[in-house]
Amino acid sequence: MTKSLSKGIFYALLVLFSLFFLIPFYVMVVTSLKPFDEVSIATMWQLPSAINLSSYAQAFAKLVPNFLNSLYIVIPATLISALLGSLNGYVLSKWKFKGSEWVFTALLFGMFIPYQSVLIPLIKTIQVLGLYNTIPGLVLTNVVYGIPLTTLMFRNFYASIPDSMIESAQIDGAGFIRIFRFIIIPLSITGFVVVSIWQFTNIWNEFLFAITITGSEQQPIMVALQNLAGSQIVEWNVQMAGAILAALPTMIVYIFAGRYFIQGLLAGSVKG
Amino acid sequence: MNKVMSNKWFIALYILPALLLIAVLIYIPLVLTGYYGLMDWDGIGAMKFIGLENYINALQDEKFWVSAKNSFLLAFYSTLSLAIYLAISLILASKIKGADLLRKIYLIPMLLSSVAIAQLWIKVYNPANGILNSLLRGIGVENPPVWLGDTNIVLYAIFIPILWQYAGFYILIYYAALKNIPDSLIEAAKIDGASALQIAYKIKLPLIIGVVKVTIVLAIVGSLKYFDLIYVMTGGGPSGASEVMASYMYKKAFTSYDFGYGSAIGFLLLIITLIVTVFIRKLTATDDEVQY
Repeated sequence: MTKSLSKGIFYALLVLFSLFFLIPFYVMVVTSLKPFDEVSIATMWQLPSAINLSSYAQAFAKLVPNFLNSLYIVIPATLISALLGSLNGYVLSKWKFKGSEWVFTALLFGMFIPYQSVLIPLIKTIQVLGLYNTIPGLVLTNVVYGIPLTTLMFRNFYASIPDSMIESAQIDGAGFIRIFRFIIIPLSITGFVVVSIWQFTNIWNEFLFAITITGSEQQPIMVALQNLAGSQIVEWNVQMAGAILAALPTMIVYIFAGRYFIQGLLAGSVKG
Repeated sequence: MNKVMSNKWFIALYILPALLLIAVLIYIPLVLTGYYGLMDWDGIGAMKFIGLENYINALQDEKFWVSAKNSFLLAFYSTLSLAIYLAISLILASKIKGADLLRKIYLIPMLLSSVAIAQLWIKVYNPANGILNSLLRGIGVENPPVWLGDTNIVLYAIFIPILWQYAGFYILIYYAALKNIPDSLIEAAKIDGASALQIAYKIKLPLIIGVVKVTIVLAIVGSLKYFDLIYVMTGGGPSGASEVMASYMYKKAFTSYDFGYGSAIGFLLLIITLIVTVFIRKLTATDDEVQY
Protein backbone atom coordinates (compact mmCIF):
# COMPACT_ATOMS: atom_id res chain seq x y z
CA MET A 1 0.00 0.00 0.00
CA THR A 2 2.63 2.52 1.05
CA LYS A 3 4.78 1.32 -1.79
CA SER A 4 2.19 2.06 -4.45
CA LEU A 5 1.45 5.36 -2.77
CA SER A 6 5.08 6.44 -2.88
CA LYS A 7 5.26 5.29 -6.45
CA GLY A 8 2.25 7.48 -7.22
CA ILE A 9 3.93 10.47 -5.61
CA PHE A 10 7.11 9.79 -7.54
CA TYR A 11 5.20 9.69 -10.80
CA ALA A 12 3.43 12.92 -9.99
CA LEU A 13 6.80 14.55 -9.29
CA LEU A 14 8.32 13.34 -12.52
CA VAL A 15 5.35 14.40 -14.59
CA LEU A 16 5.26 17.83 -12.94
CA PHE A 17 8.94 18.19 -13.68
CA SER A 18 8.41 17.24 -17.31
CA LEU A 19 5.59 19.81 -17.58
CA PHE A 20 8.15 22.42 -16.57
CA PHE A 21 10.11 21.41 -19.67
CA LEU A 22 7.18 20.93 -21.98
CA ILE A 23 5.01 23.99 -21.31
CA PRO A 24 7.43 26.65 -22.57
CA PHE A 25 8.33 24.42 -25.49
CA TYR A 26 4.65 23.80 -26.26
CA VAL A 27 3.86 27.52 -26.27
CA MET A 28 6.87 28.10 -28.49
CA VAL A 29 5.75 25.56 -31.10
CA VAL A 30 2.07 26.51 -30.99
CA THR A 31 2.84 30.21 -31.30
CA SER A 32 5.11 29.66 -34.26
CA LEU A 33 2.25 27.97 -36.12
CA LYS A 34 -0.19 30.85 -35.70
CA PRO A 35 -0.74 33.90 -37.87
CA PHE A 36 -0.07 37.17 -36.05
CA ASP A 37 -3.72 38.08 -35.45
CA GLU A 38 -4.23 34.83 -33.53
CA VAL A 39 -1.37 35.51 -31.13
CA SER A 40 -2.81 36.88 -27.92
CA ILE A 41 -2.74 36.15 -24.20
CA ALA A 42 -6.26 34.80 -24.23
CA THR A 43 -5.52 32.15 -26.83
CA MET A 44 -1.90 31.50 -25.92
CA TRP A 45 -2.63 27.96 -24.80
CA GLN A 46 -4.88 27.01 -27.68
CA LEU A 47 -3.78 25.13 -30.72
CA PRO A 48 -3.86 27.25 -33.88
CA SER A 49 -7.23 27.19 -35.67
CA ALA A 50 -5.35 26.02 -38.73
CA ILE A 51 -1.67 25.33 -39.18
CA ASN A 52 -0.24 28.52 -40.59
CA LEU A 53 3.30 28.57 -41.84
CA SER A 54 3.45 32.26 -42.69
CA SER A 55 5.61 33.03 -39.66
CA TYR A 56 8.05 30.35 -40.79
CA ALA A 57 8.13 31.88 -44.25
CA GLN A 58 8.89 35.30 -42.75
CA ALA A 59 11.53 33.96 -40.38
CA PHE A 60 13.06 31.86 -43.13
CA ALA A 61 13.35 34.82 -45.48
CA LYS A 62 15.12 36.83 -42.78
CA LEU A 63 17.39 34.09 -41.51
CA VAL A 64 18.36 32.08 -44.56
CA PRO A 65 21.65 33.88 -45.39
CA ASN A 66 22.79 33.46 -41.80
CA PHE A 67 21.60 29.88 -41.71
CA LEU A 68 23.90 29.24 -44.67
CA ASN A 69 26.75 31.13 -42.97
CA SER A 70 26.36 28.81 -40.00
CA LEU A 71 26.55 25.77 -42.24
CA TYR A 72 29.71 27.13 -43.89
CA ILE A 73 31.21 27.58 -40.43
CA VAL A 74 29.99 24.45 -38.71
CA ILE A 75 30.76 21.84 -41.35
CA PRO A 76 34.48 22.57 -41.88
CA ALA A 77 35.02 23.42 -38.20
CA THR A 78 33.45 20.14 -37.10
CA LEU A 79 35.42 18.05 -39.58
CA ILE A 80 38.77 19.71 -38.91
CA SER A 81 38.44 19.67 -35.13
CA ALA A 82 37.36 16.02 -35.19
CA LEU A 83 40.32 15.06 -37.39
CA LEU A 84 42.82 16.97 -35.28
CA GLY A 85 41.31 15.51 -32.11
CA SER A 86 41.55 12.03 -33.56
CA LEU A 87 45.21 12.51 -34.54
CA ASN A 88 46.03 13.93 -31.10
CA GLY A 89 44.13 11.17 -29.35
CA TYR A 90 45.93 8.55 -31.42
CA VAL A 91 49.39 9.93 -30.59
CA LEU A 92 48.57 10.51 -26.93
CA SER A 93 47.12 7.06 -26.35
CA LYS A 94 49.15 4.80 -28.63
CA TRP A 95 52.46 6.61 -29.14
CA LYS A 96 53.17 7.99 -25.71
CA PHE A 97 56.47 9.81 -25.50
CA LYS A 98 58.34 11.51 -22.72
CA GLY A 99 56.20 14.48 -21.76
CA SER A 100 53.10 13.30 -23.60
CA GLU A 101 51.00 13.56 -20.43
CA TRP A 102 52.20 17.11 -20.09
CA VAL A 103 51.21 17.83 -23.69
CA PHE A 104 47.80 16.31 -23.02
CA THR A 105 47.25 18.60 -20.04
CA ALA A 106 48.40 21.58 -22.07
CA LEU A 107 45.89 20.69 -24.79
CA LEU A 108 43.04 20.25 -22.29
CA PHE A 109 43.59 23.50 -20.44
CA GLY A 110 41.60 25.48 -23.00
CA MET A 111 38.46 23.72 -21.80
CA PHE A 112 38.50 25.35 -18.40
CA ILE A 113 39.15 28.97 -19.24
CA PRO A 114 36.42 31.59 -19.50
CA TYR A 115 36.39 32.86 -23.08
CA GLN A 116 36.13 36.44 -21.87
CA SER A 117 39.71 36.04 -20.64
CA VAL A 118 41.06 35.61 -24.17
CA LEU A 119 38.51 37.50 -26.20
CA ILE A 120 40.24 40.82 -26.87
CA PRO A 121 43.69 39.47 -27.87
CA LEU A 122 41.96 36.68 -29.79
CA ILE A 123 40.05 39.20 -31.88
CA LYS A 124 43.29 41.14 -32.42
CA THR A 125 45.09 38.01 -33.59
CA ILE A 126 42.24 37.17 -35.93
CA GLN A 127 42.47 40.73 -37.29
CA VAL A 128 46.23 40.41 -37.82
CA LEU A 129 45.63 37.18 -39.72
CA GLY A 130 43.21 39.10 -41.94
CA LEU A 131 40.34 36.87 -40.84
CA TYR A 132 38.28 39.34 -38.84
CA ASN A 133 34.65 39.45 -39.93
CA THR A 134 35.10 36.40 -42.14
CA ILE A 135 33.73 32.91 -42.05
CA PRO A 136 37.22 31.33 -42.03
CA GLY A 137 37.95 33.42 -38.92
CA LEU A 138 35.09 31.78 -37.05
CA VAL A 139 36.01 28.36 -38.45
CA LEU A 140 39.55 28.75 -37.12
CA THR A 141 38.38 29.93 -33.70
CA ASN A 142 35.86 27.13 -33.32
CA VAL A 143 38.42 24.54 -34.44
CA VAL A 144 40.99 25.70 -31.90
CA TYR A 145 38.54 25.92 -29.01
CA GLY A 146 37.15 22.51 -29.99
CA ILE A 147 40.53 20.75 -29.92
CA PRO A 148 40.67 20.21 -26.12
CA LEU A 149 37.40 18.33 -26.05
CA THR A 150 37.86 16.36 -29.26
CA THR A 151 41.33 15.32 -28.09
CA LEU A 152 39.97 14.19 -24.73
CA MET A 153 37.11 12.25 -26.31
CA PHE A 154 39.28 10.49 -28.89
CA ARG A 155 42.04 9.71 -26.42
CA ASN A 156 39.54 8.01 -24.14
CA PHE A 157 37.98 6.28 -27.09
CA TYR A 158 41.34 4.92 -28.32
CA ALA A 159 42.29 3.73 -24.86
CA SER A 160 39.83 0.89 -25.48
CA ILE A 161 41.62 -0.25 -28.66
CA PRO A 162 44.11 -2.92 -27.53
CA ASP A 163 47.80 -2.05 -27.94
CA SER A 164 48.43 -5.58 -29.23
CA MET A 165 46.56 -4.64 -32.39
CA ILE A 166 48.94 -1.76 -33.06
CA GLU A 167 51.94 -3.95 -32.26
CA SER A 168 50.96 -6.72 -34.65
CA ALA A 169 50.34 -4.17 -37.38
CA GLN A 170 53.84 -2.86 -36.77
CA ILE A 171 55.29 -6.35 -37.05
CA ASP A 172 53.55 -6.55 -40.41
CA GLY A 173 55.49 -3.46 -41.35
CA ALA A 174 52.80 -0.79 -41.02
CA GLY A 175 53.97 2.64 -39.87
CA PHE A 176 52.38 5.47 -37.93
CA ILE A 177 50.29 6.81 -40.79
CA ARG A 178 49.23 3.45 -42.20
CA ILE A 179 48.06 2.27 -38.78
CA PHE A 180 46.11 5.50 -38.32
CA ARG A 181 44.58 5.31 -41.76
CA PHE A 182 43.77 1.59 -41.95
CA ILE A 183 43.23 0.53 -38.34
CA ILE A 184 42.48 3.46 -36.08
CA ILE A 185 40.13 5.46 -38.31
CA PRO A 186 38.02 2.46 -39.41
CA LEU A 187 37.73 1.35 -35.78
CA SER A 188 36.64 4.78 -34.63
CA ILE A 189 33.72 5.53 -36.93
CA THR A 190 31.43 5.62 -33.89
CA GLY A 191 33.89 7.94 -32.21
CA PHE A 192 33.79 10.25 -35.21
CA VAL A 193 30.00 10.27 -35.22
CA VAL A 194 29.81 11.05 -31.50
CA VAL A 195 32.49 13.75 -31.61
CA SER A 196 31.08 15.31 -34.78
CA ILE A 197 27.57 15.52 -33.37
CA TRP A 198 28.95 17.07 -30.22
CA GLN A 199 31.03 19.61 -32.11
CA PHE A 200 28.21 20.35 -34.55
CA THR A 201 25.79 21.14 -31.73
CA ASN A 202 28.31 23.24 -29.81
CA ILE A 203 29.49 25.28 -32.75
CA TRP A 204 25.98 25.72 -34.15
CA ASN A 205 24.80 27.15 -30.82
CA GLU A 206 27.98 29.13 -30.07
CA PHE A 207 27.29 32.78 -29.40
CA LEU A 208 30.15 34.81 -27.86
CA PHE A 209 32.71 34.33 -30.66
CA ALA A 210 29.93 34.75 -33.20
CA ILE A 211 28.92 38.21 -31.98
CA THR A 212 32.46 39.47 -31.51
CA ILE A 213 34.31 38.07 -34.52
CA THR A 214 31.75 38.74 -37.24
CA GLY A 215 29.73 41.74 -38.32
CA SER A 216 26.59 41.98 -40.42
CA GLU A 217 27.17 39.97 -43.60
CA GLN A 218 29.07 37.05 -42.13
CA GLN A 219 27.00 36.55 -39.01
CA PRO A 220 25.93 33.05 -38.15
CA ILE A 221 22.34 32.13 -37.35
CA MET A 222 22.42 32.72 -33.58
CA VAL A 223 23.46 36.34 -33.95
CA ALA A 224 20.79 36.88 -36.59
CA LEU A 225 18.21 35.29 -34.31
CA GLN A 226 19.24 37.65 -31.56
CA ASN A 227 18.97 40.63 -33.91
CA LEU A 228 15.57 39.42 -35.10
CA ALA A 229 14.27 39.70 -31.54
CA GLY A 230 15.98 43.04 -31.06
CA SER A 231 14.05 44.69 -33.86
CA GLN A 232 10.72 45.63 -32.29
CA ILE A 233 8.68 45.24 -35.45
CA VAL A 234 9.07 41.49 -35.53
CA GLU A 235 6.16 39.65 -33.95
CA TRP A 236 6.33 36.93 -31.39
CA ASN A 237 5.15 34.19 -33.76
CA VAL A 238 7.94 35.04 -36.20
CA GLN A 239 10.53 35.04 -33.43
CA MET A 240 9.44 31.65 -32.18
CA ALA A 241 9.43 30.29 -35.73
CA GLY A 242 12.95 31.67 -36.10
CA ALA A 243 14.08 30.03 -32.88
CA ILE A 244 12.69 26.68 -34.06
CA LEU A 245 14.24 27.07 -37.52
CA ALA A 246 17.57 27.81 -35.86
CA ALA A 247 17.23 24.67 -33.73
CA LEU A 248 16.21 22.47 -36.67
CA PRO A 249 19.65 21.01 -37.50
CA THR A 250 20.34 20.00 -33.90
CA MET A 251 16.81 18.62 -33.54
CA ILE A 252 17.20 16.52 -36.68
CA VAL A 253 20.48 15.19 -35.33
CA TYR A 254 18.80 14.34 -32.01
CA ILE A 255 15.90 12.56 -33.68
CA PHE A 256 18.04 10.45 -36.01
CA ALA A 257 21.16 9.98 -33.92
CA GLY A 258 19.94 10.58 -30.38
CA ARG A 259 21.95 7.66 -29.06
CA TYR A 260 25.21 9.20 -30.31
CA PHE A 261 24.17 12.63 -29.09
CA ILE A 262 23.71 11.19 -25.62
CA GLN A 263 26.99 9.29 -25.84
CA GLY A 264 28.69 12.55 -26.73
CA LEU A 265 27.12 14.38 -23.80
CA LEU A 266 28.38 11.68 -21.47
CA ALA A 267 31.81 11.43 -23.05
CA GLY A 268 32.21 15.18 -23.05
CA SER A 269 31.28 15.53 -19.42
CA VAL A 270 32.43 12.61 -17.38
CA LYS A 271 34.74 10.32 -19.25
CA GLY A 272 35.01 8.31 -22.44
CA MET B 1 57.82 -2.12 -31.11
CA ASN B 2 61.33 -0.98 -30.21
CA LYS B 3 62.37 -0.05 -33.70
CA VAL B 4 59.53 2.39 -34.02
CA MET B 5 59.94 3.60 -30.46
CA SER B 6 63.14 5.36 -31.51
CA ASN B 7 61.03 7.56 -33.74
CA LYS B 8 58.94 8.88 -30.89
CA TRP B 9 60.07 12.45 -31.20
CA PHE B 10 59.25 12.29 -34.84
CA ILE B 11 55.78 11.01 -33.96
CA ALA B 12 55.33 13.87 -31.51
CA LEU B 13 55.55 16.22 -34.48
CA TYR B 14 52.06 15.13 -35.50
CA ILE B 15 50.73 16.85 -32.43
CA LEU B 16 52.56 20.05 -33.27
CA PRO B 17 49.86 21.63 -35.46
CA ALA B 18 47.28 21.38 -32.68
CA LEU B 19 49.76 22.61 -30.08
CA LEU B 20 50.76 25.56 -32.24
CA LEU B 21 47.14 26.55 -32.88
CA ILE B 22 46.39 26.34 -29.17
CA ALA B 23 49.51 28.30 -28.28
CA VAL B 24 48.71 31.10 -30.73
CA LEU B 25 44.97 31.34 -30.11
CA ILE B 26 44.63 30.33 -26.46
CA TYR B 27 47.85 30.66 -24.46
CA ILE B 28 49.26 33.82 -26.00
CA PRO B 29 45.89 35.60 -25.78
CA LEU B 30 45.65 34.63 -22.10
CA VAL B 31 48.98 36.31 -21.39
CA LEU B 32 48.12 39.28 -23.61
CA THR B 33 44.86 39.83 -21.72
CA GLY B 34 46.89 40.28 -18.56
CA TYR B 35 49.20 42.64 -20.42
CA TYR B 36 46.42 44.71 -22.02
CA GLY B 37 45.04 45.09 -18.52
CA LEU B 38 48.03 47.34 -17.84
CA MET B 39 47.01 49.69 -20.63
CA ASP B 40 44.71 52.59 -21.17
CA TRP B 41 43.23 51.61 -24.51
CA ASP B 42 40.00 52.28 -26.38
CA GLY B 43 40.53 49.39 -28.77
CA ILE B 44 41.38 51.57 -31.77
CA GLY B 45 43.95 54.20 -30.81
CA ALA B 46 47.39 53.73 -29.29
CA MET B 47 47.81 51.93 -25.97
CA LYS B 48 49.15 53.84 -23.05
CA PHE B 49 50.90 52.00 -20.23
CA ILE B 50 49.31 52.87 -16.90
CA GLY B 51 50.67 50.14 -14.66
CA LEU B 52 48.31 48.40 -12.30
CA GLU B 53 45.71 51.18 -12.37
CA ASN B 54 43.03 49.08 -14.11
CA TYR B 55 43.50 46.21 -11.70
CA ILE B 56 43.41 48.48 -8.67
CA ASN B 57 40.31 50.21 -10.02
CA ALA B 58 38.64 46.89 -10.66
CA LEU B 59 39.31 45.72 -7.12
CA GLN B 60 37.72 48.93 -5.86
CA ASP B 61 34.88 48.82 -8.36
CA GLU B 62 31.66 48.04 -6.54
CA LYS B 63 30.01 46.92 -9.77
CA PHE B 64 32.74 44.37 -10.34
CA TRP B 65 32.21 42.93 -6.87
CA VAL B 66 28.46 42.81 -7.41
CA SER B 67 29.05 40.89 -10.62
CA ALA B 68 31.46 38.54 -8.81
CA LYS B 69 28.91 38.01 -6.04
CA ASN B 70 26.23 37.21 -8.62
CA SER B 71 28.54 34.74 -10.37
CA PHE B 72 29.20 32.97 -7.09
CA LEU B 73 25.49 32.99 -6.23
CA LEU B 74 24.80 31.30 -9.57
CA ALA B 75 27.50 28.74 -8.80
CA PHE B 76 25.97 28.14 -5.36
CA TYR B 77 22.43 27.64 -6.67
CA SER B 78 23.65 25.50 -9.55
CA THR B 79 25.39 23.23 -7.07
CA LEU B 80 22.31 23.07 -4.84
CA SER B 81 20.10 22.21 -7.79
CA LEU B 82 22.25 19.14 -8.43
CA ALA B 83 20.47 17.56 -5.45
CA ILE B 84 17.13 17.89 -7.27
CA TYR B 85 18.58 16.32 -10.40
CA LEU B 86 20.06 13.52 -8.35
CA ALA B 87 16.72 12.82 -6.67
CA ILE B 88 14.95 12.77 -10.02
CA SER B 89 17.58 10.47 -11.49
CA LEU B 90 17.23 8.10 -8.54
CA ILE B 91 13.49 7.87 -9.18
CA LEU B 92 13.98 7.52 -12.94
CA ALA B 93 16.56 4.77 -12.54
CA SER B 94 14.41 2.77 -10.14
CA LYS B 95 12.89 0.84 -13.04
CA ILE B 96 9.99 3.16 -13.47
CA LYS B 97 7.80 2.89 -16.56
CA GLY B 98 8.34 5.62 -19.13
CA ALA B 99 11.73 6.59 -17.70
CA ASP B 100 13.27 6.79 -21.15
CA LEU B 101 10.57 9.08 -22.49
CA LEU B 102 10.77 11.38 -19.46
CA ARG B 103 14.53 11.54 -19.72
CA LYS B 104 14.19 12.54 -23.37
CA ILE B 105 11.74 15.28 -22.48
CA TYR B 106 14.18 16.70 -19.94
CA LEU B 107 16.82 16.84 -22.68
CA ILE B 108 14.77 18.99 -25.09
CA PRO B 109 16.32 22.30 -23.97
CA MET B 110 19.82 20.93 -24.66
CA LEU B 111 18.93 21.08 -28.35
CA LEU B 112 17.98 24.72 -28.28
CA SER B 113 20.63 27.40 -28.35
CA SER B 114 21.03 29.80 -25.45
CA VAL B 115 19.72 32.56 -27.70
CA ALA B 116 16.50 30.68 -28.45
CA ILE B 117 16.07 29.72 -24.79
CA ALA B 118 16.64 33.31 -23.72
CA GLN B 119 14.04 34.62 -26.13
CA LEU B 120 11.53 32.01 -25.12
CA TRP B 121 11.95 32.90 -21.44
CA ILE B 122 11.80 36.62 -22.13
CA LYS B 123 8.28 35.86 -23.36
CA VAL B 124 7.57 33.65 -20.37
CA TYR B 125 8.53 36.52 -18.05
CA ASN B 126 6.97 39.38 -20.00
CA PRO B 127 5.15 41.29 -17.25
CA ALA B 128 2.21 42.38 -19.40
CA ASN B 129 1.46 39.37 -21.60
CA GLY B 130 3.91 36.65 -20.65
CA ILE B 131 3.03 33.02 -20.01
CA LEU B 132 3.85 33.16 -16.33
CA ASN B 133 1.92 36.28 -15.42
CA SER B 134 -1.11 35.25 -17.45
CA LEU B 135 -1.08 32.01 -15.42
CA LEU B 136 -0.72 33.96 -12.17
CA ARG B 137 -3.53 36.36 -13.07
CA GLY B 138 -5.60 33.33 -14.01
CA ILE B 139 -5.35 32.05 -10.44
CA GLY B 140 -6.14 35.45 -9.00
CA VAL B 141 -2.77 37.09 -8.33
CA GLU B 142 -3.47 40.78 -8.84
CA ASN B 143 -0.03 42.33 -9.12
CA PRO B 144 2.32 39.64 -10.38
CA PRO B 145 6.03 40.53 -10.28
CA VAL B 146 7.78 42.18 -13.20
CA TRP B 147 10.42 39.40 -13.01
CA LEU B 148 13.30 40.56 -15.22
CA GLY B 149 12.57 44.19 -14.31
CA ASP B 150 12.81 43.71 -10.55
CA THR B 151 16.31 44.07 -9.11
CA ASN B 152 15.45 41.77 -6.19
CA ILE B 153 14.12 38.95 -8.34
CA VAL B 154 15.98 39.16 -11.62
CA LEU B 155 18.91 36.90 -10.73
CA TYR B 156 16.57 34.14 -9.55
CA ALA B 157 14.35 34.67 -12.58
CA ILE B 158 17.39 34.08 -14.79
CA PHE B 159 18.44 31.07 -12.79
CA ILE B 160 15.23 29.20 -13.69
CA PRO B 161 15.94 29.09 -17.46
CA ILE B 162 19.55 28.14 -16.69
CA LEU B 163 18.15 25.24 -14.71
CA TRP B 164 15.74 24.52 -17.57
CA GLN B 165 18.67 24.47 -19.98
CA TYR B 166 21.01 22.17 -18.05
CA ALA B 167 18.81 19.92 -15.88
CA GLY B 168 18.48 17.27 -18.61
CA PHE B 169 22.23 17.13 -19.01
CA TYR B 170 22.91 16.43 -15.35
CA ILE B 171 20.00 14.01 -15.07
CA LEU B 172 21.40 12.13 -18.05
CA ILE B 173 24.81 11.85 -16.40
CA TYR B 174 23.38 10.65 -13.07
CA TYR B 175 20.95 8.30 -14.77
CA ALA B 176 23.76 6.69 -16.80
CA ALA B 177 25.90 6.30 -13.69
CA LEU B 178 23.03 4.79 -11.70
CA LYS B 179 22.26 2.37 -14.52
CA ASN B 180 25.82 1.07 -14.25
CA ILE B 181 25.27 -0.16 -10.70
CA PRO B 182 24.88 -3.94 -10.85
CA ASP B 183 21.37 -5.14 -9.99
CA SER B 184 22.80 -7.85 -7.77
CA LEU B 185 24.02 -5.25 -5.28
CA ILE B 186 20.57 -3.71 -4.97
CA GLU B 187 18.88 -7.12 -4.75
CA ALA B 188 21.24 -8.21 -1.99
CA ALA B 189 20.47 -5.08 0.00
CA LYS B 190 16.74 -5.64 -0.46
CA ILE B 191 17.03 -9.17 0.86
CA ASP B 192 18.84 -7.77 3.89
CA GLY B 193 15.77 -5.61 4.45
CA ALA B 194 17.13 -2.22 3.39
CA SER B 195 14.49 0.40 2.55
CA ALA B 196 14.50 2.25 -0.78
CA LEU B 197 15.81 5.34 0.96
CA GLN B 198 18.58 3.40 2.65
CA ILE B 199 19.55 1.81 -0.63
CA ALA B 200 19.67 5.20 -2.31
CA TYR B 201 21.68 6.82 0.45
CA LYS B 202 23.96 4.01 1.57
CA ILE B 203 24.58 2.09 -1.65
CA LYS B 204 23.75 4.06 -4.78
CA LEU B 205 25.09 7.43 -3.72
CA PRO B 206 28.52 6.18 -2.55
CA LEU B 207 28.86 4.22 -5.78
CA ILE B 208 28.33 7.25 -8.00
CA ILE B 209 30.04 9.79 -5.76
CA GLY B 210 32.88 10.17 -8.29
CA VAL B 211 30.40 11.28 -10.93
CA VAL B 212 28.65 13.59 -8.48
CA LYS B 213 31.96 15.28 -7.71
CA VAL B 214 32.65 15.81 -11.39
CA THR B 215 29.24 17.42 -11.85
CA ILE B 216 29.92 19.72 -8.90
CA VAL B 217 33.10 20.92 -10.62
CA LEU B 218 31.22 21.33 -13.90
CA ALA B 219 28.38 23.26 -12.28
CA ILE B 220 30.63 25.65 -10.37
CA VAL B 221 33.16 26.31 -13.11
CA GLY B 222 30.39 26.59 -15.70
CA SER B 223 28.50 29.11 -13.56
CA LEU B 224 31.53 31.34 -13.03
CA LYS B 225 31.96 31.63 -16.81
CA TYR B 226 28.24 31.97 -17.52
CA PHE B 227 27.35 34.59 -20.11
CA ASP B 228 24.91 33.77 -22.93
CA LEU B 229 21.48 33.77 -21.29
CA ILE B 230 22.25 36.77 -19.13
CA TYR B 231 23.56 38.79 -22.03
CA VAL B 232 20.49 38.10 -24.16
CA MET B 233 17.84 38.29 -21.44
CA THR B 234 18.86 41.33 -19.42
CA GLY B 235 22.30 42.46 -20.53
CA GLY B 236 23.15 42.46 -16.82
CA GLY B 237 20.34 44.82 -15.87
CA PRO B 238 18.27 46.30 -14.40
CA SER B 239 20.98 48.54 -12.95
CA GLY B 240 23.51 45.73 -12.68
CA ALA B 241 21.29 43.43 -10.61
CA SER B 242 21.92 40.44 -12.89
CA GLU B 243 25.45 41.36 -13.94
CA VAL B 244 27.97 38.51 -13.77
CA MET B 245 31.74 38.74 -14.25
CA ALA B 246 31.64 37.60 -17.88
CA SER B 247 28.90 40.04 -18.87
CA TYR B 248 30.59 42.90 -17.00
CA MET B 249 33.83 42.26 -18.89
CA TYR B 250 31.91 42.26 -22.16
CA LYS B 251 30.10 45.46 -21.30
CA LYS B 252 33.27 47.33 -20.30
CA ALA B 253 35.15 46.29 -23.44
CA PHE B 254 32.53 46.19 -26.16
CA THR B 255 29.96 48.72 -24.96
CA SER B 256 32.09 51.26 -23.09
CA TYR B 257 35.13 50.68 -25.37
CA ASP B 258 37.39 50.53 -22.36
CA PHE B 259 39.47 47.62 -23.60
CA GLY B 260 42.20 48.05 -21.01
CA TYR B 261 39.72 47.84 -18.14
CA GLY B 262 37.82 45.02 -19.88
CA SER B 263 41.08 43.09 -20.21
CA ALA B 264 41.85 43.59 -16.54
CA ILE B 265 38.42 42.19 -15.61
CA GLY B 266 38.87 39.31 -18.06
CA PHE B 267 42.19 38.50 -16.43
CA LEU B 268 40.72 38.68 -12.92
CA LEU B 269 37.92 36.39 -14.10
CA LEU B 270 40.56 33.93 -15.29
CA ILE B 271 42.43 34.01 -12.01
CA ILE B 272 39.26 33.61 -9.95
CA THR B 273 38.07 30.72 -12.13
CA LEU B 274 41.42 28.95 -11.93
CA ILE B 275 41.70 29.35 -8.17
CA VAL B 276 38.16 28.05 -7.67
CA THR B 277 38.76 25.16 -10.08
CA VAL B 278 41.91 24.06 -8.29
CA PHE B 279 40.26 24.50 -4.90
CA ILE B 280 37.12 22.54 -5.83
CA ARG B 281 39.11 19.77 -7.43
CA LYS B 282 41.28 19.45 -4.33
CA LEU B 283 38.16 19.39 -2.24
CA THR B 284 36.51 16.71 -4.35
CA ALA B 285 39.64 14.71 -5.15
CA THR B 286 39.13 10.94 -5.15
CA ASP B 287 41.08 7.90 -6.23
CA ASP B 288 38.36 7.15 -8.76
CA GLU B 289 39.15 6.76 -12.39
CA VAL B 290 37.43 9.98 -13.28
CA GLN B 291 39.13 11.85 -16.04
CA TYR B 292 38.83 15.38 -14.86
